[in-house]
Parts: sequence; C-alpha cells; structure tokens
Amino acid sequence: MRKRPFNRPSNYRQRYGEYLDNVSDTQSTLTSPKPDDIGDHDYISVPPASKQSDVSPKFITFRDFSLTFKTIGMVCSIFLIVVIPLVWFFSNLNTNVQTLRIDVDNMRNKIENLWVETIQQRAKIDAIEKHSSDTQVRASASSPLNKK
Amino acid sequence: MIKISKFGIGVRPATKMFRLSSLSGLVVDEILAARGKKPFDDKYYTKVLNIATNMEEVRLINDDKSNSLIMNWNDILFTKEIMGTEKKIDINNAMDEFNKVWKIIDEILLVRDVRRIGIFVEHTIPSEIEHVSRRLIDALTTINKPSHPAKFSLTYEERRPTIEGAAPDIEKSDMLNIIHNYYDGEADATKPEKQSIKADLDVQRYFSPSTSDVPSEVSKLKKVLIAERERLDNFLHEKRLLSNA
Repeated sequence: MRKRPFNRPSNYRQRYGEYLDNVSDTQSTLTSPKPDDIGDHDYISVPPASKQSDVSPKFITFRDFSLTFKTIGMVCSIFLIVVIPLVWFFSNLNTNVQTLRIDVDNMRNKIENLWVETIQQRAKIDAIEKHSSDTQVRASASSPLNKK
Repeated sequence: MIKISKFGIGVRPATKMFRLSSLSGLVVDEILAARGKKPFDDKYYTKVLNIATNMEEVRLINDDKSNSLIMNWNDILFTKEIMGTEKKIDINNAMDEFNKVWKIIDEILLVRDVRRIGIFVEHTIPSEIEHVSRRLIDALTTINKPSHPAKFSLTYEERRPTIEGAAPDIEKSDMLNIIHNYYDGEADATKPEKQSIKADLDVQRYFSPSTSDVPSEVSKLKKVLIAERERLDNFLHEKRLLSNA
C-alpha cells in the first residue's frame, strides 16, 4: 500500500537533519587558541580604582559647597514637575476667610432683597385683585336688573 | 537548583579581529576606568597581561582569578568563577557585568559579524561517595563496571534548529548547540576536586548570517540556558546524582 505524501518527512527537513549531524566547526565556548604558557610574571598589577573616579563632573564648586550636573538636573525636574503645578493650584484656591465672609454677607443681602421684592410683588397682586373685585361688585349693584 | 561554580560568555566573530592589536590598550584603559562604578567593585580586575609581549591577546584578571576577561583575534571570553566556599554565582548579576564590559569593548572594537555566542555554566556537586567515577559510570552508562575506574568524563553535543516548528534554512546554517559534560571533579583540568561531580552546560548559538546585536542575543540565549538548567537539575535528581536535600 502506498504511503500518503504528507506522512513522509519532508526532504527539506531531512536535509537539515543531515546538516545538523555533520556540522564540524563546533567547539566549547571557553575553548580558544592560546598563546604560549602565561605565568603570573606576565601580568602587570594595576591599583584598585580610586573612589574619586565615581564622582560626576563638577558644575558649581564653592569651597565645601558643590553641585553636580545630576543634582542640578534632579532639582530642576522636581521644580518643574512638582513645585510649579502645586503653586499654580494653590494660587487659584481662595483661602481668605474675610473674603469668604463678605461673599456670604452679600449672598444673604441678596436673598433678603429677593424676599422683600417677592412680598411687595404679592402685595401689589393682592391690591389689583381687590380693586378688580370691588369694581365688579359696584358694576353689579348699579345694573338695571338688580333695581327690578 | 544546583549551584553554579563557573560562568562564562564567549563571543566569536566570523573573522579575526586584527584591530585588537592596535586598540587593546584603549579597551583596557576604559575597562579599568569603569571599576568602582556599578556593577563593578574597585578590585574587579587588578592584573593585566603585558600587552607589549602579547600582541594578539589581552587578559584582565583579579587577584584570585575569579574574574577574567580574555580578548584575542578569535574570541572574547568573559568568565566568573567561585573560589573556595563563597556564595554562588547569580546569572542575572553576571549578565549585567558582561553587558557593561561588552558595551565598553564594542564601542572601541566595533565587533560585527558574530558567528557564535555561547554561555557556559559549570555546576559542582559535592559527593559523599568516594568513588565518583564508578558512581557516574553506573548512573550514566551501561559499561561493565571496571574494578578501579577514575577520571570519568562524558561529553556530547545536542544540536537543534533555531526555529521551532517552521522549516529551518539550511543555507543559513543557523542552529543551537548544547554541549553537556559530566565528569569526575578529579579530572578537572584547572581545579581538580576529589569527591565532587561536575556537570557543565554550554549553550551556544551559531549565526548565519552573522549578528551584531550581542546583548540582545545573549539575553535570548539566557532563556534557553535557564530551561536547560532546569532539565539538568531534574535529570540529576532522576539519576540520584543530586540529593533532594
């Protein structure tokens, strides 16, 4: 019985397998051609790193006061990102108690005025209504139908 | 997880780096100047191979030779080794140190066309059994037990295509090569140790076309190494070469 084509390993894969089996230039990572035997006498000793080498270049130096570029950069960043937005926020916030009290007094006066105006308007409406009802009563009293 | 006693990263360019002979002094100065800054301590390297007498190779080591950097026309080898009963080597810290060293080297030597990158780890397993070679022969082979075996060593390579599932490109000859090495600690060429088993893993990738992005490729290879170490740990437990304690 014939095998189905897709059951057979591809020729390409087979060739790759053969390639992997026949690679010859592999070596251990730490294997490297070495020069003649090297002894301790072939080495030159170097002193340990001095601590000063880790210090960044000075930006401002004044006796015992010194700032580095890194410090200046950090201070400027904090100022721009934190200080300025906070100052702007609090400058817009009205924290003056006296000003707030005046605002409350003004509001109270306005409300009182509105009440007074409302009462006056009510009185006017009542007067108009009373006048109109009086007029109606008088008109009905003088009517010829009522005389009969 | 088993303890790493030696760690190394090797980079092999496709062509020889003859420029090393003229630029090596600059590389050494820059590496020495980087000491004292993270991740290097002040005594990370304290000795330099006399460049005047060895034009084709540069070596930097520290006092106890636990840190070493070898650069020659063919390879750049960065190694760390535990001396005595120190704490274990941390892969991530060692990688950070390599990346820093590599950045300095690459800025000066402009290493391009890398054919092979390899990460090597050596594990030392203390053994309570006196006859380590016999124990290894029993566990790893079907050889008839010799009466007085010694300095047993077993090495093999495991080659894999780099692209899982897809059809790999033969013409590019890109592949992963994992070298396994089990041996009696007594047979160690540089640091023989009786009553210890050594298990080395060497995870390599061969590039074709060559690569120049070494830090990125090393980072990818680290993942393969971590997976292989887990496999090795399980295998050693299975073979009872490593106790569960």
